[in-house]
Amino acid sequence: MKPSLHTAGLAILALGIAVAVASSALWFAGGMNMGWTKTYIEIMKTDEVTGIEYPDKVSRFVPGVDFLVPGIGAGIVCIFVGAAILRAHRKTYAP
Amino acid sequence: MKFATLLAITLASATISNAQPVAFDFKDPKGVNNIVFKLDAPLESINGTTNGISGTITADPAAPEKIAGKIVVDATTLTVPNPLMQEHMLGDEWLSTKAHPEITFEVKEVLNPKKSGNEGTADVKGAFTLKGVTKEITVPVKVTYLPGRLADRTNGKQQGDLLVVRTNFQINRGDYGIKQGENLDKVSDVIDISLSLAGAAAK
Repeated sequence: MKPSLHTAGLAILALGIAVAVASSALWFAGGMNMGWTKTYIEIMKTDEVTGIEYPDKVSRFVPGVDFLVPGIGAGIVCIFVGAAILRAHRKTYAP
Repeated sequence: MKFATLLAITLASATISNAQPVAFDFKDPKGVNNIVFKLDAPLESINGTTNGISGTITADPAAPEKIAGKIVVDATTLTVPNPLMQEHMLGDEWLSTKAHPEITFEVKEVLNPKKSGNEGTADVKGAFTLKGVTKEITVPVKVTYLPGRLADRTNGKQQGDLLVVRTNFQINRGDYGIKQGENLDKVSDVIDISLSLAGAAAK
């Protein structure tokens, strides 16, 4: 029971770091979009006959700040919870 | 010289007097016809589009003031790039598209028509209906008549003419019962709307 608490603390801490890093990495890879998350982008094209400009939709996941902030937030919460468990474990079993 | 001038005037008069209003169908299988709408918001402006456009405009190429007809937009086809925003936009609190599936503009009157070659401009007064609320608005319209160009668009399968209609105008969402006076800190009341449409008249 005692070692598993230590393992759980480490696991939650690692999960928190992974979530925060993964969210940041995806956001950076998506072009550091400072707007809302998008599931498609629009490329403007021109119809040759009519001259009408029209948006051509291309499916693409572009994470925005509404993806980054909750991701980092969840990661930080996990890191604090994991660290708190490890600290409590250390205090309990300190020589 | 006098004879040539007289002949030209006669031919022009005959052309104008014989011109008949032509019905242009704005359902576009190519998906080029589009409406773009934009609302300012703090993080970034909300830009949406739709291709779900249909309707018929009857136009007399020789008399631009004789435009009549109705453009219909399938409200359920309005899209924004954020899925959650899309769900809210079409939902009961905003556009309520289940109860009000159509957005329409019906031409009532054409004011200040000006014609230059195959192009014309006018202020078109019409009945704009959004979320079940109809208001009379006047929008500046630019019309381009492209005789015989339908074949170019259909790889020769259909002969006929094209009518390109462009307009930009603004409405206030509150005027149409869309969260009147609410959420102004998140989404502006003013909606910028741009239409770029081509109608086809097959012969």
